[in-house]
Amino acid sequence: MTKGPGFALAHGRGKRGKKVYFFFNGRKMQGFEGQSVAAALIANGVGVVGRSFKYHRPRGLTAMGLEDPNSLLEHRNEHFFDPAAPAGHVSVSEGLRVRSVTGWPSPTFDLFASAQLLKGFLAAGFYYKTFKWPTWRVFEPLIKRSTGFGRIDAKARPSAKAVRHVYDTCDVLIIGGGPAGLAAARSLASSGQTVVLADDQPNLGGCFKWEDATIGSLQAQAWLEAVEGELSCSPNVKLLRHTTVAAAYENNCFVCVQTVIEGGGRHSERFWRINARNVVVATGAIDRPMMFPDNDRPGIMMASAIRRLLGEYAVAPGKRLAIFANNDSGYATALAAAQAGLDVVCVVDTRSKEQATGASLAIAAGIECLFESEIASTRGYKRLSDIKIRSRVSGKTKVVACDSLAVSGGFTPVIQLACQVGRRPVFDAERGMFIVADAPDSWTLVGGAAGTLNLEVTLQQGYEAGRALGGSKHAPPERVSAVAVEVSGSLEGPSEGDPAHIWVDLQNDVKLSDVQIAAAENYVSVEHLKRYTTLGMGTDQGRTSNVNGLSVMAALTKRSIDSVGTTTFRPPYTPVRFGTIANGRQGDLYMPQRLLPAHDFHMEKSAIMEDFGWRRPDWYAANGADREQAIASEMAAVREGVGVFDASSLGKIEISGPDAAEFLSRFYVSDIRSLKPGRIRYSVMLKEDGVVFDDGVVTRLSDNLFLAGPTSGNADAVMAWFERWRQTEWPSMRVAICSVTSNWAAVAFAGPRARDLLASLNPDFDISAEAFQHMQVREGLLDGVPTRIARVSFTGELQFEVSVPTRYAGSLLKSAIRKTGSLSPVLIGMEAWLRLRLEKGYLHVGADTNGRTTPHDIGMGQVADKRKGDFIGRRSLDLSFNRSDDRERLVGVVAENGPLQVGGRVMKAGHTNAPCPTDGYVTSATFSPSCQQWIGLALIERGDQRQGEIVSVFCAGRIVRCKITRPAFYDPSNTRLNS
Amino acid sequence: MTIEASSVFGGPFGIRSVVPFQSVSDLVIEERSDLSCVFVNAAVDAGPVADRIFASTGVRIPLRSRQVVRNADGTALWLSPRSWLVHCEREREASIVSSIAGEFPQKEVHAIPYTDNVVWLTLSGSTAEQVLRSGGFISLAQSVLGIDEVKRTLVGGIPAVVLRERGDAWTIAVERSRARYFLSWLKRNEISSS
Repeated sequence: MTKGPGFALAHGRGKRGKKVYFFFNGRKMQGFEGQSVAAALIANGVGVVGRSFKYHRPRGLTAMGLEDPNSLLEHRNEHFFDPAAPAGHVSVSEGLRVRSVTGWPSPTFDLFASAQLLKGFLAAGFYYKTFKWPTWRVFEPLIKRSTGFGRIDAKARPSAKAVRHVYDTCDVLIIGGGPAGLAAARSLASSGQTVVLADDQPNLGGCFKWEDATIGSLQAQAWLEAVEGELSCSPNVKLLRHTTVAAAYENNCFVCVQTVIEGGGRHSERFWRINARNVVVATGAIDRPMMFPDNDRPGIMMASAIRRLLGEYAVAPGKRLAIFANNDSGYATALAAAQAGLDVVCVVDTRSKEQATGASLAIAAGIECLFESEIASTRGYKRLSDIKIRSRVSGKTKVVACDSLAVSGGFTPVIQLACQVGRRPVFDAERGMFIVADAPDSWTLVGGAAGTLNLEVTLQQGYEAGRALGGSKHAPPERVSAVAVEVSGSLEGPSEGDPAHIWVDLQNDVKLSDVQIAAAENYVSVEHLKRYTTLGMGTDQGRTSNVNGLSVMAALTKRSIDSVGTTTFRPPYTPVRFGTIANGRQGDLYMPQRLLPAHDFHMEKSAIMEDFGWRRPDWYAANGADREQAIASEMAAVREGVGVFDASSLGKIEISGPDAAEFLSRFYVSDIRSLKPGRIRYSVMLKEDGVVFDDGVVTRLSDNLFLAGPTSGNADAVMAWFERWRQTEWPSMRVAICSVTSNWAAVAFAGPRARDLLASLNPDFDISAEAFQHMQVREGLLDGVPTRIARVSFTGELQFEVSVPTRYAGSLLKSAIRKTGSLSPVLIGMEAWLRLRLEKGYLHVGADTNGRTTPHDIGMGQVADKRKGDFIGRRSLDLSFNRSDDRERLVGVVAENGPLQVGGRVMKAGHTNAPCPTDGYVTSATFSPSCQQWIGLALIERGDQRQGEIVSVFCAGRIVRCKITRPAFYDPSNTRLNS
Repeated sequence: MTIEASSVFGGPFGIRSVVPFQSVSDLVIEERSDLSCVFVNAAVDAGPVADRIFASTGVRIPLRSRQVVRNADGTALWLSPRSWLVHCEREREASIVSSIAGEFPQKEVHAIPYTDNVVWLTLSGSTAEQVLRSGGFISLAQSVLGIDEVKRTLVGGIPAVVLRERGDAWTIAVERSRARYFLSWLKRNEISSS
């Protein structure tokens, strides 16, 4: 390993934790508990932590926080594994194993570094142009191997990182625990309001942890301890340390990820969803890099990162430090480094001496300051060795030896959260940064997030924000003395230098030359620039690169930065593990499961369950040796005797009120107003576009009480659909809606002996064919239990759908399948049920319809046309394309020479081989025991006009000849179901 | 032949029983099939019909959100401006339904026996609040959901009615078909909350 120049200082401002040992790429190193991995690596002299994404150039750490584009490393110990986490965000602990995620076999010796020789071919858009021949598949494996960040370890125990989801609400959410956030929280502490303060770092304080500042009479560290003490004692303030607010959504809903480190290095996460009445954004601002030739070498770091290293962690980035800046942050860094005992070789400032107001202290300290100058080049492959400085005035150059370089190209406020809820950043030319000009309602941006760089103003803004939300009116007037950084640097690129050696985006290896290519190829829109060059993609999302990239594009296209704009910031701000979001949603908890009320009964009866939205029996193992045999015997039972089918999952929605009939008639194609009490009608309902949304029967229980029966899978959606129209479009209608799906267990008795079975359960009303006809309903008692029985049929046989209160479900089924005399009822699963309906030719919405199917396509055109009054979707049915004769119509198909399959394509006439143009496809198919042939339903162009035509259907590699028929294969005269 | 009732977890119906599960804390979950209830649904604004509901059933319905009204003949829980749940004795269920049907023949108000549609679970113990907080956007602060207040919300991804009985006890209704999922969810979240 090449030894880097960093080392641990004897003393720092922060307290050091217990000494611990950890490993980096197998090498044992020493750190301190609570120290970030990034700081510990630099303290141990690590220079190269990985390789760059595309060119595999050596890369070192550049920042100390989430913003570092180079710092993704694999972290693991016996308790947790994270394949790629920012080194500045993970604390060292005993036995922690840290590994580089780029570079093979190691980041210091990387075979893929040969990619640098091919840099001429790897410019922006190279993958669109270069890897076409013979096929992308040839190159894909190699490219995948040589890129990416981190590898999943399938052996890592999924439970190794425990996750807990927590919901919370608060009056004020303060995002950021730096000076401004703490001031806001302090102001609100005694207000009685619930306050949550979240900060992504393990310790609060932000820059007060490392900057050399005095607040009133207190040193920053002492002020910090006092404020933190106050807040910890405040019962209404919750401090969430090590918590990144990753996403903001409407209604002030925030997603936060908290890392909790317990004893022994056990990591767990809390996934917070917080609803806040008010929000204070105190997320600060981050340094922008400078653009100059070979600005990506290990040893080049952000100026603020170096101050943090020195002040918080007592770690030096090197022995000889140079500084390159366009703002006064460079001088603050120079003074901090000199104070820590480093050899500060020079400060290179792009500004004139007059503009560099902060330079006087550095000059007084004997630090050489070079104005109106820039870095012309750097040297050192695996660690910086020297820089060449050029005067912008005279053009003279000089080489200065140094092992580390601090850069500051200005500041970028962290405003992503505000942008996630729809705010567009605007460019403040005076301050040289993108800011949020109009904060969302109930949001206040303070401090760096608002573009404020002065610490005293930052504190006052924090207090003021708290006060405006009802906090203490007596904020302490706190004078802050610190090296002043008043304005961000101007956005300007280098005056000279090879653009192919000037990096704009370190994470994605995007160079100035790539942006130039994008401009030359007219990818000048910021969104195109991003996609074409990958600028601002990846985990980094352009936190440090976007503004520089935009400034380059603005200059190239002679536009203002504001007019170039920014890309859209979307959640999350930082990567969140899928496992964190999923939490325990695996196995049976993957999604809320719905069980039939007689679930245990079905399991006892050897049901093979399938997930149809509800867990339902697909078939019963007791009915046959295998699935097909069982289904055949279940179908036979219905056709010859009686089958018992649990239909409890079918939707049941009660619609009541004086306007109930009118209300329902606006949804269904059939006129529900004309339905008589005690009667049932089948119909379909449409969306506004005229497309079939759902079907089912509607029962009129009394004049003003109806029971709608949507399909099982659509029941919730139909309920929501009813409510939406009632509440938003027809609020004056006197209608009430209630889902009673789970209130009733519904069991269908189907088959020629269904009446005998029902009679055996002692209904207290006449169930004879004359008294109780098809499509009628009866209410009464069944063996003393309240019941609703509907005479409807899905199978084509005589059928009764018996509903009892759910508590009786298991008992009803148990009674129903008991053998009585010659009656041997058989339990029926879903598959047999669906095949029986297919024999009858009944529609199965979702299977036999698609996103275009209208009532005209399924044979209900006449019903729709004759319907009096309006209904949802009616106007769309009159549109010409919905009236076209060329539309796909649902028809029957009977196979002549082999099995049919769902999805089989109906080939256009004249074609004998696939691929070829098609006329439609098979929507349902089965072998029909009743018809003794393969039958199906199909949506075929002009199918209704092609009865009797023989078509070729391409099914799984073979062509099946099929005859187009009417969609009714079994008992088309309905004799059986009316029996 | 006799058709018999059973509770959602297979036990006898109509009693209050502790759900057996290996708690890792002091969380106790009870199945409350002793709680019968009626869903009262109004097709018109509640104000003008509230007195008629009271007159016909003896149940005063709450008119503001979260409110619970305890009556001699049943406890009414606010669900929405036009809908309520009435907890009552098992024997009262049918009479409340028929009384409302008699008072409102045009179905301006409609009552539905609802005992079977939901399962009621009472959660108690010091971890109960933490478990619930891991499940949905409901503030369990006493200032927001006080004792004898009720909210309809999502818990664990499913619709639920949450009634605060005590400082550390909640009675929750979830749709019957989702009861076992909810129980599994409670167990899983009890472990991660402990």
